Amino acid sequence: MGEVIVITSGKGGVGKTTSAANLGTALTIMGKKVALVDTDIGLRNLDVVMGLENRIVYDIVDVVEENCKLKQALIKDRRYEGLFLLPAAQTRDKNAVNEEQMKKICEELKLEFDFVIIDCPAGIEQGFKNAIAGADRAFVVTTPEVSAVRDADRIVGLLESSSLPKPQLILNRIRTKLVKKGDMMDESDIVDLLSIKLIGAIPDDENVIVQTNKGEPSVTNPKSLSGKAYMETARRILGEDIPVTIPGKKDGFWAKFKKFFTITK
Amino acid sequence: MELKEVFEPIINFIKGFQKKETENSKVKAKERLKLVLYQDRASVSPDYFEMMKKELVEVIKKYVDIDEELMEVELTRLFEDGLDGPALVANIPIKNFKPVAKKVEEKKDEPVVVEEVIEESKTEEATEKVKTEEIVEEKSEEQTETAEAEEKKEEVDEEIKEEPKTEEVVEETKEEVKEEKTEEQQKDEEKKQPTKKETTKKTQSKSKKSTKK
Repeated sequence: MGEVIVITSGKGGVGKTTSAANLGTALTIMGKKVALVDTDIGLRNLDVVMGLENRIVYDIVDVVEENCKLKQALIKDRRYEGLFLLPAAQTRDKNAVNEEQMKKICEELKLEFDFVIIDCPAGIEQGFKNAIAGADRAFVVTTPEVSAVRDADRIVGLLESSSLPKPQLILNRIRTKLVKKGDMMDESDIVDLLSIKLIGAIPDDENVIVQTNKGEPSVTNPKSLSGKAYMETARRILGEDIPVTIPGKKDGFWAKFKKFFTITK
Repeated sequence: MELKEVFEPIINFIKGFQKKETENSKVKAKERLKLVLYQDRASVSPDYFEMMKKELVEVIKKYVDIDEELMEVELTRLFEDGLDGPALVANIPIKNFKPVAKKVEEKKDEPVVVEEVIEESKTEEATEKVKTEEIVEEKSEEQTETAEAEEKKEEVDEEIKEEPKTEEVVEETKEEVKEEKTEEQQKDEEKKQPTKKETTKKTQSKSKKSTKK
């Protein structure tokens, strides 16, 4: 029996789809069988981020309306063994699927896969309710900006009053230079504000744009800082107890100085 | 451990030359977010806030007669007197001060007294209602006179006319200076009357209790 993880944020453009693609791919690289599900009906994007847009035949609405079987709609990623995508419909709206149908799809996928990763649409309407309906675990993605953090808090509130009481945080697009200057909130600030557990801290990385242009998740590039951070996050999903660090973050002189003396105690 | 103790004050001293924390935009962002999240969270669970408001009303009601419809309780930010942080600000219009609580405290043994006071406040409310009706009808006179409004007006007019009539009688019989006094006396008498009643009732209740004992 697999685990269904929903990746949500409230605000759009903070990196839900990128996180879903990267975590899914990272888990496959670690030998797990993963299904990615795009629930952003009408504004699907997980297919282009994964570079699978040309292979779509059936979508999630076809499955719900029984035009095809679930297995027929799943696209197999030829690059990674055990990675599949269930695309969203592009020409329909969010009301084409309801919560019960979504639960049914999740239950069916759980039997086949180790992990089912659901990419949630932005907002708190029907699409969000559908996406969380069948989930066992929720990740909230946010960036260290006031608007994104505010929306994330709203989502945390909604999740806590639903069947997913313990969401975890992915802090995306951290600019280490700005953090050092004191002009950007860091992971401890955000955790302090949202009071939920941090599972991943991803640095802002130009490589994400380059990789997405090619239709490849950044975890496939070993040099990519964000890729490293996503790999670490995936290990935490599997239960490894590794402290959250930000790849590429260099300690300042005083931080190093202080660290040296705290170690000596 | 020893090394740390030696170097910490030095580090702190040097840190003093660095950019102060309050100048950083991050600190501002965090402060602003803290307040916004307080507000958002309060509205995420409106039941919780309503629950608190209801209980607040119940407590205040014991001491003061308040207008619940116009009452406002908000979560805002306070800047006054060196305070800078989230605060609960309540705006509660008062209708009447109730002497209830004091009397209850003074004579906890006699629940009968409380009932009497409640009756009094009810009569007060009734008189207030009549006044407001008057105002409404005056307005309606100016605008359009419906049959219903006329009926009501007549009723109220009758009530009002009765009172000045007695005053007129007083005016005719006595001089101007005395009039005021008599009016005052009348008012005093009116005030005294219910208190007299109270005292009589109190004595009754006391006597009842004594008989019970």
